[in-house]
Amino acid sequence: MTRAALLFLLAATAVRAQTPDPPSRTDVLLRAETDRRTAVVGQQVGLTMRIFVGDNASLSRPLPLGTWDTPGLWREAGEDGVQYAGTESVGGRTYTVYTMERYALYPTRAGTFTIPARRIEITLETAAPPDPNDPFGAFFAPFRTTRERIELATRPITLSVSDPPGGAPPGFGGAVGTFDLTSTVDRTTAAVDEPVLFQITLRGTGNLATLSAPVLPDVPGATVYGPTDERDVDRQADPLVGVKTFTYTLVPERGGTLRLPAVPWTYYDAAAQTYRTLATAPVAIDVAGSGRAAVPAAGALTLATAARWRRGPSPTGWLWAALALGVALPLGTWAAARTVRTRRQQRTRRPATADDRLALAGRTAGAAGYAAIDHAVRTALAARTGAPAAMPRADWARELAARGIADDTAGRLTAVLAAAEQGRFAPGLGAPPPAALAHQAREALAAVHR
Amino acid sequence: MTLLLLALLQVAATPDAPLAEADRRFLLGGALATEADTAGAVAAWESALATGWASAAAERNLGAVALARGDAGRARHHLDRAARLAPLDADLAAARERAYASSGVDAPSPLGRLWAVVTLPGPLALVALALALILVAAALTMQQKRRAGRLAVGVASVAVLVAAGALAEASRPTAVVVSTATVREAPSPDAPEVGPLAVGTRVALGEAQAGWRAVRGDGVRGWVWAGALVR
Repeated sequence: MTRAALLFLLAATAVRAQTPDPPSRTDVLLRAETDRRTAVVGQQVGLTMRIFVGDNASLSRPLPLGTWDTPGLWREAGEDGVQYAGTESVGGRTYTVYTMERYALYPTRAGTFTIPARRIEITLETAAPPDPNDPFGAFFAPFRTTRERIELATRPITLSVSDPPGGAPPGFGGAVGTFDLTSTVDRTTAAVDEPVLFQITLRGTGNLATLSAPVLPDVPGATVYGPTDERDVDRQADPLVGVKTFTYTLVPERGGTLRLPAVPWTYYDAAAQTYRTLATAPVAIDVAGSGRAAVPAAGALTLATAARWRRGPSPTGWLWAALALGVALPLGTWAAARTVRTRRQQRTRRPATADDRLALAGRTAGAAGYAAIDHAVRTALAARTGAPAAMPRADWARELAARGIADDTAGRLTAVLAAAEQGRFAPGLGAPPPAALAHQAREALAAVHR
Repeated sequence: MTLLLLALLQVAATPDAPLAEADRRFLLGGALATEADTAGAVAAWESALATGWASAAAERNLGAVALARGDAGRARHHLDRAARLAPLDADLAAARERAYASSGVDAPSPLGRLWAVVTLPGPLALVALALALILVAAALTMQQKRRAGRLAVGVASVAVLVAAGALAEASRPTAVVVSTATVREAPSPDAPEVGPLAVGTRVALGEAQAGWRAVRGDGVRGWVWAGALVR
């Protein structure tokens, strides 16, 4: 299919006003669409950006490139994240469609505006078709995907915006869309000086950020404060719907019935092309008490004339951290020192093994070293057999044989004892050095224990 | 390192506005009160306290005006603050008792007054004292001075507990009810009522939502319009 034909198909199949993507590729497309091309100042214009991905390809999270401003249009973002939006056929080719971003745009003045191109970068993974001649082709297909980073851009969209028609009722503050109005009062009985809360809630499709508050008429017998306002937007709704709540505080000044008349509020319904006025229900509040307490005269009060100043509330977060650190550090140090000391003591108290003794004896030169080897071997054998350690060397051979210890092992042990005696009592006559003899003794004892 | 930490805390706790500015506003309040401009005086004292500096005298003056106006809740709020700063001031204690009596709330217990005296130096000074005592205890323990070390550890433990208590008190967000408030189950005037909160009741504050505040105190728990509370 030629590039021109694809462009024609894109334009012809679009139900919404839309711009085709830069047609540099056909396996992935980015499209920006608005639900209208003409609007009234303040009217919501829905803008959806969708990505079309061809067969055998999958999409990573798109990354917006550069800044994207919409001059002359107040922008409210819809639900965040890439959403699967089904499949769609474009020019005979089936695409998987994802909604990437959704916005509600509200023109802030009349004129012709251009929604600029949105540039994004995506990573596209395309799986190679399996080789029909390869029996393992289907198995290895996932390992033959190609990964490609692609930059896409939408086409700019032109929007024509006009002012609402003349003949607006007095009090029209510029709200355009469709709205509901509800009102509540937190109490219908109150005392003088007791605040009464009056809330007006507007729910609709207009631009809540710039929505002006309903103007309360004079309320005789009460002081009106506020309003304060709270705004909440349902970003999943299409079109976006918001709720704005205005809270007025009425403070009754005298007893009797406080009457709050109906409060009108006007908006322009662009769909019906007419102005509509909503109103709250009138409210009556019974106020108990006679009147407001008088402000005392200064002379009647005992006031301090000089002040001693000190620092106000300290930053408690830092203080908690300092206190915790101050306690934890010494405690931690003490606990660590105690653990090290305990382990050291445990190690010191452990009875010396034959290996410990032989290791020490091997490092001891001269007769003392041989004596230590003799003692270590005898002690180990006594522990193993129950025989007295001081038994003569010749008797050890019989004892070991009686205990079922192999002749070879018994012979090695008696040889060690003989060499130790030789080293002790006849130095210089060929006894192996203490280190070597200790090594022989360790090996022979290991054989005994095996 | 501990000294450096304390110095940093000291710097962090120092208000941005100079002390002279707070004093100037306080004196302006006094001058306005002399000219019978009580509303202006209240604004001046409040702005003096808004500098970040604290003064028992300014709180006391605000409490006295509120008490004379019959605004027992606000009077109690300011006089409680003043009493924390000057727990031994007898005139202040008397004014505070009048505020409690007029709002129908029980006066503070002697234990509460004792606690106010103990924590008078403030969380910063108490934490600094506790850290210094910990250092002393650690030094004595390392020098094998067992008896003195144990005594120092005991004193440091008490100091840590007092500092932690003062810190917990300073960290806990509370407010005083300044006009009769209805506690509701949800932050909406349409929500079912839980019960009333009397003027002058001190409540613990929770989350804020749409001009409402979650509160707990006087045996009730729920939501109150934030305008009925003062912190």
